[in-house]
Amino acid sequence: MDFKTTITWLIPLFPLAGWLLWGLFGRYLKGFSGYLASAFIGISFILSVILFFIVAYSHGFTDTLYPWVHAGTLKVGVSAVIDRLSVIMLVMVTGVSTLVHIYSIGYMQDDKGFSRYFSFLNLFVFSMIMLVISNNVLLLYVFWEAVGFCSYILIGFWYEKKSASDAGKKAFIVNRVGDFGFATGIFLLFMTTKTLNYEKIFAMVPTMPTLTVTVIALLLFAGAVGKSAQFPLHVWLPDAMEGPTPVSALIHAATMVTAGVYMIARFHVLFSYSPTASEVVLIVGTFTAFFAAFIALTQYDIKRIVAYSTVSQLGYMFMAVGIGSYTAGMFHLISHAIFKGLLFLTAGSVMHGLSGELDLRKMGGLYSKMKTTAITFIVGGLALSGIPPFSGFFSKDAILADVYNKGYYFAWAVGEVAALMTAFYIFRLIFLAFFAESKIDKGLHVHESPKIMTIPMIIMAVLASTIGFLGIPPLNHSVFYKFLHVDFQNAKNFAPIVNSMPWYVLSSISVAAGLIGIYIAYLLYIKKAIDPEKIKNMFKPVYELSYNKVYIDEIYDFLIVKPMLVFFGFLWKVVDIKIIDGAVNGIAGAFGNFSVKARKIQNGMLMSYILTLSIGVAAVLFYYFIR
Amino acid sequence: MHNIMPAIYGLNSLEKSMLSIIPEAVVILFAFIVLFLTFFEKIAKSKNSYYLSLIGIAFSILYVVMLSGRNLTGFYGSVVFNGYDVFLFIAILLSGFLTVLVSKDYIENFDLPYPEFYSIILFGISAMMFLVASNNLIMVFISLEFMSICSYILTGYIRGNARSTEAALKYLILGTFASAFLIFGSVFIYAAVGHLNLNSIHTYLENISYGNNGSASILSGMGEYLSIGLLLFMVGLAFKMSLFPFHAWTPDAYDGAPTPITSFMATGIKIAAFAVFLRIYVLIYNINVINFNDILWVLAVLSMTFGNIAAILSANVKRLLAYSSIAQAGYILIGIIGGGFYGYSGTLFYLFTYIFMTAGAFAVVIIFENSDIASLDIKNLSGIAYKYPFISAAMALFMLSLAGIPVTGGFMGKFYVFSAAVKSGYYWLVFIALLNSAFAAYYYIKIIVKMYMPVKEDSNVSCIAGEGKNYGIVNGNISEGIILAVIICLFFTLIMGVYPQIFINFANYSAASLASL
Repeated sequence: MDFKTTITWLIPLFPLAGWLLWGLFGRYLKGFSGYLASAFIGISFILSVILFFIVAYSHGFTDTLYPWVHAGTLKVGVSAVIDRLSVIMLVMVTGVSTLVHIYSIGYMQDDKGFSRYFSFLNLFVFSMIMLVISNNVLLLYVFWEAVGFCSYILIGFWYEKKSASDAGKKAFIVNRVGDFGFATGIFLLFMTTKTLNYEKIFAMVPTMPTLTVTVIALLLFAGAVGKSAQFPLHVWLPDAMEGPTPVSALIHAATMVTAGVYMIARFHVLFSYSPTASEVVLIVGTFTAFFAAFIALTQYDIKRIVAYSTVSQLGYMFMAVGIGSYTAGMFHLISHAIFKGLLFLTAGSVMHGLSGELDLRKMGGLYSKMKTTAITFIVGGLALSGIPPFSGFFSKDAILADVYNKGYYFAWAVGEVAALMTAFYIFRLIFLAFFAESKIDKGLHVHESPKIMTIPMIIMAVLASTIGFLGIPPLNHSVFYKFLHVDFQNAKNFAPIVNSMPWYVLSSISVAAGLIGIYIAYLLYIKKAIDPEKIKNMFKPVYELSYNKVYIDEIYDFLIVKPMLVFFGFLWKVVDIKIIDGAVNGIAGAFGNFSVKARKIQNGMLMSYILTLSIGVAAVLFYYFIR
Repeated sequence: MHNIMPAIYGLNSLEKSMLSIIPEAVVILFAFIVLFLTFFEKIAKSKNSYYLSLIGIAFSILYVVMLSGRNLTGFYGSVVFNGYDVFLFIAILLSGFLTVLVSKDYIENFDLPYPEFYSIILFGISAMMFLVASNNLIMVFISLEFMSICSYILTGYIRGNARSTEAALKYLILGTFASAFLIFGSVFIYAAVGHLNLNSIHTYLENISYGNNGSASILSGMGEYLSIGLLLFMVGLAFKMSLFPFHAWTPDAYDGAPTPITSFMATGIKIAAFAVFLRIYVLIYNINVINFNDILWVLAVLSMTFGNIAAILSANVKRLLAYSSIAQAGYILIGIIGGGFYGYSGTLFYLFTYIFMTAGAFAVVIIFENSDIASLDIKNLSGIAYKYPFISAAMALFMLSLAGIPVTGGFMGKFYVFSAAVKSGYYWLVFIALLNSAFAAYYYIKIIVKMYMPVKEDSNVSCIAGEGKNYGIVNGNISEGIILAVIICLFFTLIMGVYPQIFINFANYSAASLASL
């Protein structure tokens, strides 16, 4: 193996080794495992950066570690595709992971599952890295499941809390739905192309019938909808906030939930050859962007607000990939990973300072007590609201400008409205938590978080305020675009640019939307020019709709959960516990005497067993005669 | 007279015949040795018979390896030994090896009489090997009965235990019923074609369907007999494969039998039944007398769906595994339906990985049974992972593998058989199977969740308090044997997911010699 392939495989090796080490020897390492885990991921990060420069100054490559499955025409290897798309993801994943690991040392201090936590966090990073670099669909699916699995474990990390283990279960079940579609899509893909390798698949896509491409793309997208928490499978993500906050920052904001977007970017050839599927992606993305922002308007749980905001921002990314602007989608993915990771980390810091309090109604005036947290949070909020020069401005604007210029005016308008709502809800949070008069319990000792937590936050804040400059000069001339566009050149240009509205016009509208949102929040919560209660009463039904999360959980409960319970209750009654659970026990258990037993058996269950068998035989023979 | 004898029993022919059954003969020999131990009280210790059985199985594996590569037939073509048998012999012997490994603790715990126990297991193993090797309808029937009798005895081995006795009795009655179908089917087949040897039947049918007359019209006279015969024969085997609706014995027998025997039935018997069915399927069913795939299709779908629904409803681990084995049988059948070289090789691969995940799960169940938990109800597993981290982690892996979650052998197996079926165009079948796997993951994961995430209201929370102590293994009655079994299963389950190529090659080699028959 030469230098670059060695590096490639060392990147996932460190977290994998970490998982085993902390998992097996964690109890001896005690608190030390946190530092070691961070160091391991840090090494992976450094290697990723080196790989990034190798790829940036030469070209991408693929490498097979070993052939995994070779059976006839089916040839799958454990192999990596290292191109610009994957190195960008690698740097982002390992970078954010390193910061979150360091932050976690402080956050998870004194938790009795300290080593277990780092062990699973490392396993997650390993799986995510493998997901990013895999060069065939099977490997992608394997790690697609693996990241999900780590996510369920970490959501339910504090399993003693019933809500936490329930949230883990919910994430698992909801993702089953999406992954079922994903698996079906993979089989369909394999069926039509007879290969699982990306390159070979993409080479074949142009010759495939559009309908097939569409069906496959939609099935794969179903997986993305589950993993990236898009409507209607978004319900698990807000509940996933039951997990430790760094987990939310890493998995449920920066990395795993963006896997769906990354997958579509990776499969850009497939999606670009099916305008229909892309349109579905656009519609789902746009709707989710609006819908989740709408719910976030009225929530009081700070983590849930940020979670809905994640759902909404992921919607923007899907808008971008849905119109074929893959670079714009990826740009927002990267910048969102940083500012949303930041928001979660700072929210965690608030929580830490307030001994676990999450309710906005019990906060206020925190600015003076935890300055670092407040300032970094505001940086994150400004980035999210799309205010220049913070990163969110550049990346969100790149998307909205493309959406407009490609002629999707309605989607653009919805995006702008959602941007306004975004600015409003995040500044509502900021004002209520940091600036409004304090409603904190007097006995509570509010304190700033330790350095080990604030330093990662500061680094993230600096990144969130600078990384956006990769997005200039605007539109298709930006550094980021020029760098990444190389990888997307084989996509079919199904949505050509039809407008050439100058970028500054669109940008001004976006910034205006953000500022208006912030201003409204300011009027409502700082100036108190308008009483929020008044507005609440004025739009009571709308408020209720938003506050109750559009009743989606209730609807699912009514449409799916309840009927399932009834169905299984029915089965339970009809089939009875007798058959399923201990028929043997039921009939004979009470009798010691064998003859009685034998008679009982002959009279009882045994006849019905023989009857089943005979009916089976009769049915088989019947089939033969009526055939 | 003396002219005829050498012709029939020519030294050469006898030698060849003996050679073809050496692996079976070794196992039988050791079965007798173990049995003779009962006469000598002094050495009839549990340990001696245990080690002897293991040695016997190891020897047999050795002979299989030494004979591999040869193509032998013996006893006038009624027994064969080729690449196909090599694979399945090793599978069966491994399953038997694991069974013996996990039996010792169980026997000591339940105070069962031992040398006979091991001896019957060995007889059972040899019967399974004969079943796989048999190439003649009578031979199939005899070895099937031989195997069944062993399993009846073993199922009812816990004397005086009502559940065990009742399970054995039910199994016996239903089993006899199924055997009747099998022999009845054989009679019909014989009546139709006039041959008992599978190869002869194959040649005969092939000549008719593709021969000079070019059509199946000649079949019309005896076609009905043949079809009915084949259908009944299939029913007899479907019973052993525990396919719905011929599964009725499975939950009760699995539940009532001593757990090592449950493991033996779930792995060994199922593999042997599938193996012989696959051989007959390739040789006979595959020739278009009628389209059997339609029936198998329905059986596969019903087995998966029924098994999974019933497993979801079970509250007891052993019973859950019993129902899950019905569902697994459905998945395995998909490989056969998918057919073709890859379908067969996929089926074999799946069978192989199925041994380890199932035997492993049952080994863990045995450890649980010997530990201090009240019963095998799932709710009693709550929080057990913090008391017994190692075996719980192992159990979690086996459950993931059974659920077909990636990085495990179970995933590779499923992927392999499903893609074979996709290749042959059974889209709906695969669709239903995928739906089923998605659905089934729930109850496998439920066990993991129970073990790792106890909820306060549950009964067994005291376990959590034990966190940090008891690293590894249960105190008391756990021998190295059972831990070794768990480790073997873990190793294979993982390696077949991470580096499956060797096993795929092995399955391919085996399938090749099956298809070339």
